[in-house]
Amino acid sequence: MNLTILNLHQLSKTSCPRLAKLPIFLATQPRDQQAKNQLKTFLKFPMTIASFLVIAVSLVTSVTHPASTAAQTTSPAAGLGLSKAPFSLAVSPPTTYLAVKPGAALTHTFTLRNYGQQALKITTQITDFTADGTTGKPILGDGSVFDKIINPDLNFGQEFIIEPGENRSLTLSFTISDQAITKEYPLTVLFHGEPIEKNGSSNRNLTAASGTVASNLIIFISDQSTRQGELIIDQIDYPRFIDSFGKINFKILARNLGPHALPITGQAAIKNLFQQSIIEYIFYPDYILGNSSRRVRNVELTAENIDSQGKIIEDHLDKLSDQFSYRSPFMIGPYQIEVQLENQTRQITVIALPFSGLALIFLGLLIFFGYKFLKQKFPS
Amino acid sequence: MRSKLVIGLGLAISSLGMLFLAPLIQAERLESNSYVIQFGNFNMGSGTGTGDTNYQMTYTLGQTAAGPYGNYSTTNYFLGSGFQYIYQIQEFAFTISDLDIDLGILSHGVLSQASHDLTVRTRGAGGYTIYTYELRPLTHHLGEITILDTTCDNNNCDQTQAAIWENEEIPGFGFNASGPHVSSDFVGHPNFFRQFANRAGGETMQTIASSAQIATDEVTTITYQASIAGDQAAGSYQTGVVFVAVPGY
Repeated sequence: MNLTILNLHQLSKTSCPRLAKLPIFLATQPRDQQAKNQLKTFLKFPMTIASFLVIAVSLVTSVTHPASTAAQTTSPAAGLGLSKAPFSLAVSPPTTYLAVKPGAALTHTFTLRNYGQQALKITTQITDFTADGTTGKPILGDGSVFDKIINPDLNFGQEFIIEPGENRSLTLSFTISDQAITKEYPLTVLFHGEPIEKNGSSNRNLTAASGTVASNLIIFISDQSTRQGELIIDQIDYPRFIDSFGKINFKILARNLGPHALPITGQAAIKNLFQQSIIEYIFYPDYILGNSSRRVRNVELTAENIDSQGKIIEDHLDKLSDQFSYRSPFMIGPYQIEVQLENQTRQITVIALPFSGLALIFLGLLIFFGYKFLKQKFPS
Repeated sequence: MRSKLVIGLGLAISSLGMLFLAPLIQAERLESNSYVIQFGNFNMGSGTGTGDTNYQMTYTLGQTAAGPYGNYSTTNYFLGSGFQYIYQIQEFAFTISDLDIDLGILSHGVLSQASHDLTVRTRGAGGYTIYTYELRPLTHHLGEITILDTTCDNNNCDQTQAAIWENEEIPGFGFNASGPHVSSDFVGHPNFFRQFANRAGGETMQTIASSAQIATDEVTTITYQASIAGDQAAGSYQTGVVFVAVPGY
């Protein structure tokens, strides 16, 4: 298993003088089968940039056994029994947003569950990611966050074994430099699992597969406790003219002007000539990372999709789409699309004309007059 | 008597004035032109607490549940009034049906295949992405000779772009992906193959499947294909392939 080297230089765009090394020790404890077992792993690395995100990162793991408290049971979640597959690894939570002030510290706990049939050796690494600008897909970096050239003793995260059916809690601790700048750091923590027992023999043409599950960790450093920035409507893709027998389709691209992630809030509506709403949509609260953009997803605002608290019913989340769509048997004239994103409202007009009907009429007239012409020219 | 009347009238007027002139206090809603904070409990506190010398815990008071729509319960999702946590409690699961992919005996002029399934399960509406890479090309067990990654029939495929590979005379090693959300170069083309991104060669892992929707046991099938040149050294060839499943945010 390759351990990707992480380079913190990529987290900050400022360059500052090299600072002293911080003393960090590596400590392990013998595993205690009757109680929680903690493995503390600390990093040694020099602080070469004053605005470093992290002074010390530790990964603390604990084993959860069936004899532990009910909250840490190894039983799979309801409906999720042990898989028959050799590799089945789950992590929770899949995405976390943490905001912290410079000079402060915080911890975050992941839970790994092995639903597979084989014991897995788990190694951990962190990489950064960037937003793709339209969806919530992280574009993973090359994994160079901690620079091993600067710190040859780097050993982030001690590998451990997770048995089939076992839970593992891993706690990540961050201490933030008091000189850290206001910035959002999208990170992805990767948990790589490979089987301990390799069944391949030397006389087979074998490809050994292994898997990695990830959890996204977005950390925002700021000394302000209030919301910063705002969302704006960056772009609305819509047709100016549509056919009366067609449908109105449009997409909304929202942009976050602020330094930290913000949820999308708002709604849209299509109104007819008489300013009556003929359809309404509610925006799904996807998060837009700081200084990034994302397409707005929606569901139709109906009693079927929305519960009594005004929230999208979970079972209907499969209806989410980044395309707003409306269809009617026949539309004619101007229709107004009104988009309200936070405090910003934008209205655009789409005009429905019976292009297909006109085309048919034209074709009909063409045939009619063509027939008459031919009849005159060739009376017999 | 008159003074009592005046005092009483003054009190009455003052009371009425407080009722009508005092601004309404919305204790649970603070807003400005640029933001709105809606919390039922706004006793803020934060800072560095005490703890181990190697790490310290911060604390936040007054966190309330102000979750958005969707599949979060208010107890699991909250916007901290101390500006610390936005938390999604969901499990992201990734399954590989088989870890030992045996290509069998490789012969010149024969395309050998083997396959397995990748399954993603996430109830989060952020979806997922699957990346893949190989640790190195298929390498002879003695360590030096390799079966090169395929470049397909027309020498037009690589780790980022699939192309047709049906010619048994073309040696190489590659894969095809099929499923509901595979990359576009695989869609509708069961005979299109890519080579794996070669980690030993410094290549970065590549996306093979991606979806922005909830995935309930969504299966992507990986089909490996290999063939050898006529002068390929006899022996067993092996490599390692890694599949990385990343949730959307």
